[in-house]
Amino acid sequence: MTDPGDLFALLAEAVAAMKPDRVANLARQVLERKLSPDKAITEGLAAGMRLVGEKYASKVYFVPEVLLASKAMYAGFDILRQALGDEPKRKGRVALGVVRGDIHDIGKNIVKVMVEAAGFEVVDLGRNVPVAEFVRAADQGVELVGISSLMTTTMPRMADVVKALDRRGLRPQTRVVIGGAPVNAMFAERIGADTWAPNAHSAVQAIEELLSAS
Amino acid sequence: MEPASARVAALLAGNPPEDRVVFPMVVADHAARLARVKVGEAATDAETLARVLHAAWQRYRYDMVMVFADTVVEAEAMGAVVEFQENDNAFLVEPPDDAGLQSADPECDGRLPMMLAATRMLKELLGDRVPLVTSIKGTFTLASFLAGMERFLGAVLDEPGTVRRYLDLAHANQTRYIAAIVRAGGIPFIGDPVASGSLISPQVFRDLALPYLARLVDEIHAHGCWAGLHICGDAMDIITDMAATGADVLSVDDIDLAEARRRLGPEVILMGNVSTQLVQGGTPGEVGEAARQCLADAGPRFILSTACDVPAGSPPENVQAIVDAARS
Repeated sequence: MTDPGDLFALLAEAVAAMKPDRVANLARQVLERKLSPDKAITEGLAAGMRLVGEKYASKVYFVPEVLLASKAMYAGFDILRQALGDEPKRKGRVALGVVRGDIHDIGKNIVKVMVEAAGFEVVDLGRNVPVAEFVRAADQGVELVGISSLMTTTMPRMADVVKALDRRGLRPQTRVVIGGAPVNAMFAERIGADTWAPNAHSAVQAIEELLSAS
Repeated sequence: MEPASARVAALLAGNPPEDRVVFPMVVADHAARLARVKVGEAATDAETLARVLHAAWQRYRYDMVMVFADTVVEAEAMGAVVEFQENDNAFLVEPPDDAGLQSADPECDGRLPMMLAATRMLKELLGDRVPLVTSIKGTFTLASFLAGMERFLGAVLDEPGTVRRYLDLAHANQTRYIAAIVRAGGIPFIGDPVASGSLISPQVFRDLALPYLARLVDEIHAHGCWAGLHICGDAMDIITDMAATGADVLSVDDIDLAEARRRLGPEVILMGNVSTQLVQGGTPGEVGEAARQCLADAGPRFILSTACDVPAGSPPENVQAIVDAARS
């Protein structure tokens, strides 16, 4: 019989190899053998997505590969999630959305996969999201808002979200992370976000750091 | 100096003219800003679009005019939901209803008649002195808009039937649109931003983008026109595949032109690639310097241009600096 650690490694490999059926199979084995679904998610699925992120960074994988790997990761996640019981938030609640005027949400969706795999509950606001919807999510208790914009033309709307959170008295307790191709550290500082993330993997790291500190 | 169309023709015939060919990709949004017209108006009204593009050409005196409103005109004509903005480009909100999805009629549907009317008006204004190109989307990009980009890119590796269906629908539409553009007096110029080397692997480009691009190029040639192809992002690893489409002019984004030239050999006509960030935020001196570097790196078979379309708010002096670099 496979060692639990090996089963998690196989899960990670199957995610990185973009095999939804194999991931689902392995996830069912985890449950049959009464292993920890939490560990299977972090040491299996999330570890697999980290490998995917590395392959993307080194141009071995491109967007279609990342999307197929995400499909594989969810094939396992949907099975393991049921076994997690009713602890709704394990590490915190995070809202993610793409600003108004921008419908490029593939990046945001990839971040969502990784953040969920890392154990956070994600409120997905979608794309083309008005400022008020980010504020409403913060009002309703998410601890962190992740804002994304792919286009330089819509970047200023990230500043609008931060300002609106400010006016509503939700800052600094609601944390803000921004991301998207044209975004950088200087822009994040200028608009008053807590930090920025250049890719999905560092988005997860940034969220972990910000929410463990609070 | 010979008229622009004669120099472009000489370049295409393999005899690069002494006076370099230059066309910074000025399209609806920058031209509208120059003319103090709302972008949303230039993108929806043929007379306004033709007027602002013509005024921009009169101001800068580059060697081509491109009829381009935004990237979503074809998808919109096929039923996609598009949102217009007063001072910014329209964007796609929802893909078309999948049931009954079919080619648009270029003379009736969406803004295709507007694009054709603007092409006819500009042809009237420019005559045969200046090549007039009308932008069309590459098949891969249009297919991704029809399916929804994430749905499409997510299906690329494991749902070949789905992907082919959207590609074939997109191709059928572009076949009709190309014919209509040529009838209106334009030269169809392909832009395939989703078939970008930054989004898909070289293998996927070869399997799914290249064959359809080659078909579009063949059709454009069959209409007696030359074919231009622009690919966004890092196209270095697909640069020879771009050439394999048969396109006469390969327009590239921010990549090393000297290296692209080395990979392609001296015959292929390249077009590009002054950084649009520089055009938007640099000084005329910096832009001119970058433009001269492009001219040196790419060799004589070259159209000096920008890496992508000129950002709407670019200072006019920076656009002028590109034209001046080619003229000096």
